[in-house]
Amino acid sequence: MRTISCTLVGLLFLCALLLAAPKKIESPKGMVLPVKTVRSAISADQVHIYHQVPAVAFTRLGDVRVELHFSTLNSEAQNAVFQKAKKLAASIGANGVIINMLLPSDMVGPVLTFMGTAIYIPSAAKRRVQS
Amino acid sequence: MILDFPLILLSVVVFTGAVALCDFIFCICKGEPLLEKKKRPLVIEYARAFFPVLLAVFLIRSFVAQPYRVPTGSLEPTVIPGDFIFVNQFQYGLRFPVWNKKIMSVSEPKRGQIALFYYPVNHAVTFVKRVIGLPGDHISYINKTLYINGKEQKQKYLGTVTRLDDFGQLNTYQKYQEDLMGVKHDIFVRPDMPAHNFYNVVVPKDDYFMMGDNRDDSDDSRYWGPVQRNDFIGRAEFIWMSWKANSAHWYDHIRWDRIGKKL
Repeated sequence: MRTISCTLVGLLFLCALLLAAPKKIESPKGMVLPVKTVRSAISADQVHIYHQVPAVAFTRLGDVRVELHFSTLNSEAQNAVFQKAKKLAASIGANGVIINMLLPSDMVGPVLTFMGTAIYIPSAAKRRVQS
Repeated sequence: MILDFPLILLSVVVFTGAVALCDFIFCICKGEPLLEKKKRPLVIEYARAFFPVLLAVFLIRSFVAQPYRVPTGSLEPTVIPGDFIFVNQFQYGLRFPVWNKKIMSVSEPKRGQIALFYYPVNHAVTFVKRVIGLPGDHISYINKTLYINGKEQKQKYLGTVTRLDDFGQLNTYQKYQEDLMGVKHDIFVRPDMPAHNFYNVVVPKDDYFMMGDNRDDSDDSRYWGPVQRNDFIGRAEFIWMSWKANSAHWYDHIRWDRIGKKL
């Protein structure tokens, strides 16, 4: 009786601790490494992700790197990474990001790594790319 | 939840503590002496025996110091894989583990210090890097030379070193001594790697820009951004053990010359 009571109390405290422990928040982290001259910041909605180098003239504004720890690798995780990349690129006035690498790795837990180049395409050229 | 070592340790402390406390209450209710030496059921016996030890380990590891084994070469040549570093847990303030809540402020991270912190991408992982940029600093990295707030951080060439990297590849590194605003320390750069220049990265308020001394083989703030003040764990003070796993003889495993090296 005494052993069971003590063990149950111990387990109860343990469950309370585990329930109170902070939950894992998976949000992408990243960095934009700008070139010498950048542009003024724009909205992230104006940034386009390019899966290959666009066939128009553009200016390179920097490198964008994003990492996301994931439990399930799905389109939601990929979108979160792209959103972060857009936000970082927008901060230096880039209206495009070319994907150089998008790769899951398991070096420090499951992490989706994104590397891209932040670019600026003038409006007229951008319209040509989109058409 | 993040099932890391602090949470596992705290779980064991809480379980053994609750069992021992419950048994003490039984003892008081039955009028038995609390610390009487007698045969008890296994769970209670072990909880009573281990709780004080586990509590002491938890308190020391959380608030005083912890040993940390460096797994990678990102801080080479200062710290090499297999080094065990002594981490001062109260240098950057006392924090309750698991919740990471600050109990008391002590001091802020200073430029040039080697600090242990939670990997911003995954808090279950601990990283160790050097503090390069303080909040509000402007950091540039041009041709593998650091510029902080426009001031060049001078480097002195020390020689060429060939050694294996984390992936078992033989690489040639150029060794320099960098004067980081008065903090002199050695760095490695790889002449075969591109420079990856960047200009005027502004370190946000309450954040710190961290870099490894092995500049071309380091996963640091250049990849996942600055580290928040709250994510710092402690300051690396010195190497208390250095273990060479791949040595031929058992007596060569310990790198005696590295023990006691101040960081």
